[in-house]
Amino acid sequence: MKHHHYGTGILFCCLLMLSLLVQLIMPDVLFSKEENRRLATLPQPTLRSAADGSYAKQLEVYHADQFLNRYRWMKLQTRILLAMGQTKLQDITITKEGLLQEVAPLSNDVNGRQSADSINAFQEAHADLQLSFLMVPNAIGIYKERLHTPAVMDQEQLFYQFYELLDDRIQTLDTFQLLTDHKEEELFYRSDHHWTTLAASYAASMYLQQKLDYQVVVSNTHFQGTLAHQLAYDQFEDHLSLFLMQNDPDYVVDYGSEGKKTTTVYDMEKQMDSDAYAVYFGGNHPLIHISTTSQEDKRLLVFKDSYANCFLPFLLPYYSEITILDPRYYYEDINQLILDSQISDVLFLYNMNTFFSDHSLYELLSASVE
Amino acid sequence: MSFDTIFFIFTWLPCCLLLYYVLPKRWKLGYLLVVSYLFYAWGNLYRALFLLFLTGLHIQTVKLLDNLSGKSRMVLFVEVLVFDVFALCFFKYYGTILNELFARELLQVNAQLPNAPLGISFYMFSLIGYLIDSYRGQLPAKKNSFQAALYIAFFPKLLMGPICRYQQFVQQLEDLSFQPRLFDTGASRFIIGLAQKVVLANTFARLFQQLQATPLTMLGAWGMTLAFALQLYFDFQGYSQMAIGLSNLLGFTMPENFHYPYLACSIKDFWNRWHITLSHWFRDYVYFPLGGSRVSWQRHILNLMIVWALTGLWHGANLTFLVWGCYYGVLLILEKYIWYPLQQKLPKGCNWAITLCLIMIGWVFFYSSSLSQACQILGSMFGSANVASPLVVSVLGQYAGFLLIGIVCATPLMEALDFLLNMYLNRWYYLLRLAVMFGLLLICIAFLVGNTYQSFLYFAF
Repeated sequence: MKHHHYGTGILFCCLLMLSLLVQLIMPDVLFSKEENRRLATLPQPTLRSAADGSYAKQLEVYHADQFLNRYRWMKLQTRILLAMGQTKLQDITITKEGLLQEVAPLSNDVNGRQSADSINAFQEAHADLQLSFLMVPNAIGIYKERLHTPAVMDQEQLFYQFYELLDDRIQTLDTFQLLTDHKEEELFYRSDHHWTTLAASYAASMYLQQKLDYQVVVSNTHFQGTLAHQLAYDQFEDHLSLFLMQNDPDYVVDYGSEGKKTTTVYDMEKQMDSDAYAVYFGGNHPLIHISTTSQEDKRLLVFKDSYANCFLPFLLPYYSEITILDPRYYYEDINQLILDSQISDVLFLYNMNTFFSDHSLYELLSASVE
Repeated sequence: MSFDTIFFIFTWLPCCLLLYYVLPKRWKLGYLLVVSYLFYAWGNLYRALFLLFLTGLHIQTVKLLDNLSGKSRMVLFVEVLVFDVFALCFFKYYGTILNELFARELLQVNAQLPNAPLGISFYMFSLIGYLIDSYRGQLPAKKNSFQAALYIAFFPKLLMGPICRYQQFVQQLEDLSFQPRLFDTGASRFIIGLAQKVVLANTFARLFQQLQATPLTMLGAWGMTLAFALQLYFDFQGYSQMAIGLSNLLGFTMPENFHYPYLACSIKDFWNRWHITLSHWFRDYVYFPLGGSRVSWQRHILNLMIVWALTGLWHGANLTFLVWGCYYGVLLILEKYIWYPLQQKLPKGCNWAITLCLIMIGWVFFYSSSLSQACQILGSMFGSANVASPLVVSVLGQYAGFLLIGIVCATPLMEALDFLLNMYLNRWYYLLRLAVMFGLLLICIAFLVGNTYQSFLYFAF
C-alpha cells in the first residue's frame, strides 16, 4: 500500500505562516518607485467604517499594496500572459516597436460633442479672445497598422469629426496629418503614453508658424515610462531629451497656491526618477503662471493635460505671460482669471485618450458660462 | 470577504488555522462559529445580524416543532417556510419588481431598499432544508443550537455552497481532531480551485468581454458562448474547490458540486454533473414532495416544469433566467418521453456532441440581458450573420493557449495523467506533484497581485 505524502499540506502551511511572519516583521513601504505612487498604509478602524464595510475594503487594499515584492509578482503575471500568446494586457497592446495604449471614451460622450459644445459656448462668451485647439493623437492612432486587433476607437476618424464640431472661429491645428508626415521619426515614447519632445516641437512650430531654433540635450537614456510600469514590462527603454530654445527669454515660473517659484521650467531632480517625464514642470499642477521678458505683448491661457508639459517651453519666447491650467485640479473662476491675467489668446492642448475619457474640461467650461 | 484575495489567503486564513489547531477541542465549535460570523460581517455588519436573526428563528422553530404535533405543528412549519420563501424572493426580486412598477408608472416613489445579503440564495436553502428535515423527523433527536448555527454559517460554504445537509455536517462535529491526510488534500484542492478562479475564469471573462464588444459573427457568437461556458464553469468550480479545500483544512468534508459537466451525454446526465448539490436540493425538497415521477405523465411534466422554472428563477430575476430554466425543463421532458429510444441507438460521441450543443444554446439565455439579445446571438450562431471577421479570429488566436488549457482542464485528462504518473514514477511522483503545486501557487499569487493593480493611478498624465 502506498503511503500518503503530506508535502502539499506542509508546503501550504509553511507558506501561509511565513507570509504572516513577514507581514508582522517587515515595515510598511510608503512609496512604490516602480509604480510611481504612494502605497496604502495600515488603516485605522472606526465604529462607522467597521459597520459600513469601508474599513474592510481599506484593509484589503493595504494588504494588496504591501505584499512582498509586489512589482516582481506583477512582472511574473505579465510574462505568463505574454508566454500564453496575449499581446493586449489591460488597455495596452505590446508590439515590437513599443507599447500602444487605448483608453475607452466616456460612454455618455463618445464623440466629444458635450466638450465641443462647452468650448463653443466659451468662445461665444469670450469672442474677443483668439482660441486655438490642438488635439494630439496618441501612438495608437498614428501607428494603427502595428496593432494585432483593430482599435475600438478609430482616432483618425474621431479627430476630424471632433474638429467639425468646433466653431469656425476656433483655430484648429491638424496635428494628425503633421505627425503622420513624420511617422518614421521617434514621435512617441515606446514605454510611456506621452509624445516625445521632437513631436511636440513639430506641433509648436505649426502653432507658432515659425521654424524653431533649439539645442537638444539628452536628459535620460534609460527612461521607462508609465506604460512599462503599468504592465511591469521592462523590455523598452527610451531617451528623454530636452529641447532648449536658443532665443529663450528670462522668466519666472509661479506655481500659484503651492507657494513655489522657479526660474526654470525643468525640475532636474526628476530627470532620473521612475517618472522622468516629470522633469517638465515637476509634473502636473492646478495652476502655473509664467512671466517672461519677451517683447511680445501676448498673454496666453492654456487648458491642458500632461502632453502640454513638453510643448510649452517652446512658447516662452513668444508670450509675455503664459497661464497654465489643468482642469482636473483647478476649481476656481476662470472668468476672473482671464480678467486678472488680461488674457489675449487661449490654447486647448489635449491628447485624444485623455480628452475623450475625461470630462473635467467640459465641467469647468460649463460652470464658467452659466 | 472573498477567498481569492491577498488578505484572505495570507492574513485571514493563516490566523484562522493557527488558532483553530492551537485551541482545545471543546472550544473549536464556538471558535468556528465566531470566525464564520466575523467572515460574514466583514464588509457589512447588518447582513451578519440578519443571518443571526434567521438562524435564531429556525433553531427556535425546530425546538417548537419537536414539542408540537398535529395541526399546530403543520401551521408553524408552513408559517416559517412561507416567511423563508418570502424573504428570499423579496431580496432577490424586489429590484426587478420595482423597475417594472416604475416602468408602468404604478409606483411614484423611488424607495431606497437594502441590497440583497450576500449568499442569501445559498444559506436560505440550508435553512429551508434544516426546517423541512426537522418537520419530516429526519434530524437527530438530540439537537445542539450551536451545531445548528455553525451548520448554517460555516464560512467555507456560506456564500456559494456547496449546499450540504444538516446530518452530513453535524456528524463531523463529533471529531474535530487534526486529520493530516484531509489537511493535505484540502491544501491541494484550495490551490487548484484558486488557479481555476484567478487564472482560468478571469481570463475567459476577459475573452468574453472582448468578443462581446465585436460585431456579431457566427464564429464570434460561438466563441463568446464557449468563453462564457468556460468562465462560468471555472469560476464556480474554482470557488467550490476552494470551499471544499478550506473545509478539508478545518477537518470537514463537503459534497462535490461538479463532475466534468461538459462530458455529459444527455441533459439528465449534465444536471447530475453541474451544480450537483443544487439539483439534489431541488430534487429532495421540491420534486419528490410534488410526487416526482411516480405520478401520471401529465403531472410528471408539470412537476418537471415547476422545478426547472424555480431553478431558473433561483439563478436570477431576469426573464432570461426563467426561460433558461424552462428550456431545461422542456429538454428533460423530451428526453424522457420522446428522445430516449433514439439516444440509446446513437453512439456516445453523437449524444455528447448534441448535448454539448444544447448546453451552449442554454448558456446564451443565461448570459444575455434580454430575450431579444439571446435570439440575435442564437441567430448568429446558426447562420444569420457573417461567418467570421479578422477581428474575431485575431482575438480567439490570442487566447488559443488558454482555450486549449481550459478545454483540457474541463475533462478528466489531468486526473488521468496524475494517475499514470503516480503509477509509473513511484516516489518521484510526489516530488513532481509538490513542484507542480508550488508552481501553481506562485502563478496564482502573480495573478492575484497583478489583478490588484490600480489602473486609474496610471492615468496620472
